[in-house]
Amino acid sequence: MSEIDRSPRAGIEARRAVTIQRTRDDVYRLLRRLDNLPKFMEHVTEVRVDDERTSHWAIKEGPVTLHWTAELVEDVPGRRLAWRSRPGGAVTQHGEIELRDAPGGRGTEVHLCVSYRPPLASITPAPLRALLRRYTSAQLGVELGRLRQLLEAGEIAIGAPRVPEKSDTAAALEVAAMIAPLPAHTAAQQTRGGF
Amino acid sequence: MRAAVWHGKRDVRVEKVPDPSVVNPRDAIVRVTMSAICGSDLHLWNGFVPGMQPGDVIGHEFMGEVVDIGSQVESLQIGDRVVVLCAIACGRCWYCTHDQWALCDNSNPAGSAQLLDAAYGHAGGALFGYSHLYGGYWGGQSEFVRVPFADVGCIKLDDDAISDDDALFLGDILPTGWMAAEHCNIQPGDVIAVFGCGPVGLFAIRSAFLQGAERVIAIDRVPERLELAKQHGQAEVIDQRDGDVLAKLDEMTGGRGPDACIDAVGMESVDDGPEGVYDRVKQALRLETDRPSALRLAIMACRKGGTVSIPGVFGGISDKIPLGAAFGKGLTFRMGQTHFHRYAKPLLDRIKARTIDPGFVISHRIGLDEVPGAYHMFNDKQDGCVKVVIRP
Repeated sequence: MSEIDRSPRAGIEARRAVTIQRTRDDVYRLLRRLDNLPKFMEHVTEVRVDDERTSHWAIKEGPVTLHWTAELVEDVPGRRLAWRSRPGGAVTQHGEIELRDAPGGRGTEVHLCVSYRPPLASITPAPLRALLRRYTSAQLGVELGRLRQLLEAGEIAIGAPRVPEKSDTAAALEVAAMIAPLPAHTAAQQTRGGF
Repeated sequence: MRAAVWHGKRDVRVEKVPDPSVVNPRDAIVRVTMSAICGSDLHLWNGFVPGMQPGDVIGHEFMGEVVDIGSQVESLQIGDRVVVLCAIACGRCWYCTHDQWALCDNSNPAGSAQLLDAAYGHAGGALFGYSHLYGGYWGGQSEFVRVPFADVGCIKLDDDAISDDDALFLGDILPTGWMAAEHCNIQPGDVIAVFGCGPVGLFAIRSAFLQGAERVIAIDRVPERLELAKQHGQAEVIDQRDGDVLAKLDEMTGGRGPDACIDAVGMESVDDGPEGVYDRVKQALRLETDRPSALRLAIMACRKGGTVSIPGVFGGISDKIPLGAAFGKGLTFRMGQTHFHRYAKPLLDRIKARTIDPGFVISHRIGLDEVPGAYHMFNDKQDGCVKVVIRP
């Protein structure tokens, strides 16, 4: 398979960045535990951490679940994380997280890149084709928005007037237990000099 | 509960819908004691706001009583009387902590934010009852509302002396009029022109005087609104129907033009001339989403080096904005959704001190069942309709 092949069969690479009002260490602490990723990465059904370096991933695509085992290939505390699927899984996945200080005390820039490729260029089963079609940089952007909501607002925003079937509240409370919530500014506190 | 439900262009019905409940830990549920129809609701009613879905509960100006709270709500208790600010803000992101609350990074659910990102480059915060571009949150023309980040956006009214009539407008139109005037950076001796004498324009007139304007000139085409601007607002007025607004403004300002112009009309401006026809045709064909005739006038009228302040809502693409005039005169533009959280509490203090009495704009009082008819009346400016409030 050629590196410049952009057809869905060749795989997809999603890449986005978001700036979060948290220190690099706080963001790293959350993301270093890869089983936290499904809390905001909606397309991932489950990540189970097996040991320091290996994790087991699952994505449900219709009635089929795609499985693979990933290995942590880079771990620079507060800076970088990268993982790669081991051969033999349903998909070849590569993920990279880079954390940078945002200028002007604006917290941390989280740069995230995820790529999926068929393990064999010649055969792309339907569930994998579906994943390759629907996962885009825009979708990753949505997921990073959810990460920011978790780390800043302490909950994932939802417009529905009633509790939906799948609620994010448990995930939000787990994140809050790991990383203390930020203090909130409120309208009631606002006083303006010379108003 | 009963609620005003959007079904399509010019089709709002009062229906039974499920009661809202606490969804997230920072939510409160508010039982609505008073709400209102806003001029910007007319943009929804007329079908000019994309992202509306049949079944959406509309209304973003409301106040009431807290009847339930989530586990992480700290400053509110069941039974508190509150005004709810119409923009939803998390209180913790960079924008909220830098006093730009309407630009909150976290209140708009990620799916909605993705649509707004595509339309605007970057998404602002969510609003109550204002389409799925702004979060799809249900609004306040209803009996109960789910209020996210309740600590951040509820203003407690512990003083019974403040009437609902005066408190309600802290949620939207009073801060909007105030910020519109503040954007004019008013200096002693300044003459401010206000285009549009709806409630926001009327509050902008009052705010401009309180911020030190020497004179305010108000422009509209609806007689009772001009009368309110003159009698209550102490403004000099120009009736747009008499024509030649620019020449009159020039004459009234000694040939200089107003120091600042406020466009309190926005995207559904009405113009009888060829420009108005042009905008209506292009809007009908979806070649232009907004009809900006008041904005064009404001730009042309403004003095050299002056400021154009835009509290009127724009949504998409406007044609034939005279940017050459703006450039040639070195104008400053200030605009955007109001940062309600910045102004609501200080304005409550002004209401308590009786320097502002916002209740004067109310022209009609109705129950929820009368909401559909009220949209027709308000849209057509029938029966002297300036501001409709609802007791659900």
